[in-house]
Amino acid sequence: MKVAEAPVPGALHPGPAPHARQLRWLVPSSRGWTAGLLLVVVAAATAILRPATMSVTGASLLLGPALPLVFASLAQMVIILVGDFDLGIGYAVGLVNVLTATALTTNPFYGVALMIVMVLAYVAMGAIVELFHVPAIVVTLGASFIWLGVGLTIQPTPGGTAASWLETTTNATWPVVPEQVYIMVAGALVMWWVLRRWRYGIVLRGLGNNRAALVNSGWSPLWTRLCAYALAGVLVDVAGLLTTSVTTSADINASATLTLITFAVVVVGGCRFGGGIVVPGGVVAAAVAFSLLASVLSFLNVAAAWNTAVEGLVLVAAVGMRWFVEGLRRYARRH
Amino acid sequence: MKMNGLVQEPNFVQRVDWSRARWVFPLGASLLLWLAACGISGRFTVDLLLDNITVASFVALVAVGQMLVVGLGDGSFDLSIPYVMTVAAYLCGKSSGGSNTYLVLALLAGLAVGALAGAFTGVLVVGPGLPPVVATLATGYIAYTIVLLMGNGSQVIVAPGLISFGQNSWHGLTLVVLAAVVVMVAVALLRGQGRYGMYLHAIGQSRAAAALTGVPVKRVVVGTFMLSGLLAAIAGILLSGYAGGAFADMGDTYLIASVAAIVVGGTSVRGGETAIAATAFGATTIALLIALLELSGAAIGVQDIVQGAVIIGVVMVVTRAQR
Repeated sequence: MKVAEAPVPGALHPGPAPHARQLRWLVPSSRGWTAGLLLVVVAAATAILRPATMSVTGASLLLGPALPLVFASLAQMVIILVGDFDLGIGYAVGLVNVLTATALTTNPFYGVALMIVMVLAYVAMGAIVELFHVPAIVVTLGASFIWLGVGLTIQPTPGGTAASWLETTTNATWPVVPEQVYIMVAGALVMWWVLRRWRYGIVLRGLGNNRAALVNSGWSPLWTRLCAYALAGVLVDVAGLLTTSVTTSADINASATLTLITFAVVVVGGCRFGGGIVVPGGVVAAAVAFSLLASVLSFLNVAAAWNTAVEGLVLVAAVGMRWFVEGLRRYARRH
Repeated sequence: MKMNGLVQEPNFVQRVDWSRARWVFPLGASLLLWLAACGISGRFTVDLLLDNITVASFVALVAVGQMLVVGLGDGSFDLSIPYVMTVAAYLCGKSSGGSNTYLVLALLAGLAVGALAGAFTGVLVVGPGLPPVVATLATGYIAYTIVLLMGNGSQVIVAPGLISFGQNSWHGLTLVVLAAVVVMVAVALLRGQGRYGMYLHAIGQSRAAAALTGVPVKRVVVGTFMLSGLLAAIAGILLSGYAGGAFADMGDTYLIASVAAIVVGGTSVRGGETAIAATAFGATTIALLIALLELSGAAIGVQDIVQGAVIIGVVMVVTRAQR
């Protein structure tokens, strides 16, 4: 057996590189820059290809379908923050879509109660993951079938309607920019405050970042995980409610594709897998960018079949870019 | 046998250690489910078992690939399996042009695309350090697009030789089952005889420790993803022969089934161990469970709920029992 070479710090670069200092300003320090760059490029492409979308009405038509993805991605971000993956998030949003387009429309109290049950179901998943030391991937994959089954039992074929109050509140006209922008910015700000500024936010981040430190400082990893899953459950509820407001019907399968995209959005948004680092603003920007990307591709007359490949390639490109930049940053730091 | 924390695998024949033969449980569960299915349908029949063993063969092939990936530890899962199956079946069908003339070349092309998809995933994992879940999703995205572009949403005709291979049987036992058994024995030999199995388990138990003892971690990780892709390609090609054509959504149910087969087989989903026979019988258990649910006439929604609940319930019991 060959003995692996132990890495010697700085051994690769024995002398200081003369241009290293000039290099440093090139390296962005914020983790959300990839998402911001992508959003600017995609939004510019949209504006050039279809100038009419730059009105309030045009933009709200484009941004409406992005809302469920924004909140589903924020939910996925919270799950990833504590070091887990949610493979059932698409069907979970679909199930809330079904609940809010059926039960909530006929009986608001019953509907709200079911949405609370959904949050409790997420808490239960968190409990299983923590208490049984089961990988979240298996639990959420199993749960995705439960969401699908419950959704199909309630609404076997697409149907249902959105409550009139839901349609009026989500189609209101707000000053300067479309209402959707206010909702997205509010989502990003609330999540930023909860996870980055609130005194308990650091506990949530601690579980994914350094579990031993969290336990040693007296916090319960069980309660922390339950709180994270409850937060994700609330965000899934919001995403499902917004799906109903956009599609005005119940269809469990309509949200199934969300699962795959949320992973891409969270990576491009600047979060770290394995937990610990969250960038709510980056995630929201990436979600909007991914949503607009599909529109841009259709404006360019690219076949819809290419959408998934482009999303996969954007994901790979974003990761490659971050890899390169982090290498560059390490190089700059060393000198 | 434990040696310095690494599990030293005995050879294939010595492996039968009755005191901890895990495959007994899923085998027993399969037989119970078969009897229950016989009870529901009202007649005692072996055909039911044989039919489902054929279905289980496809599950078992992808589940063994999934099991090797899961064995790498660190939350490794292969989510690209359904798409790799489909893309391999499409490429094999398209390149044979529906005739037997170029069947061998077409088979090789299908297998090559599976291994290539696995290599792509592996490079994403060991290079930029993408989590396997995300890397396999990216590969899956790209494979699925290739499927859509090749097929235009329609069914792809496969070579008649492949169809006769997939559908011919000997007293109800199809050649597919034979092929799956041969492939699984080959994987068992690969794992048990060479260094590969030892390296895989070492990486799954502690990647850092494995790297320090000189295990070529990157090569083993890439190789494992390639193996999983290859097994998915074999399953996809055989499935297109059995089903008489390749469809865009032919692989959809195989992701959850592959994970379920591992879980039911009792292999730890946290990595560091593999059990081929247990996973194979886990696959028959899952196939029989689905058959039983269909026979019972339950609504499709209820079938989904039961499948999901079984996976969560079994994984809870298995991990509790292992501690």
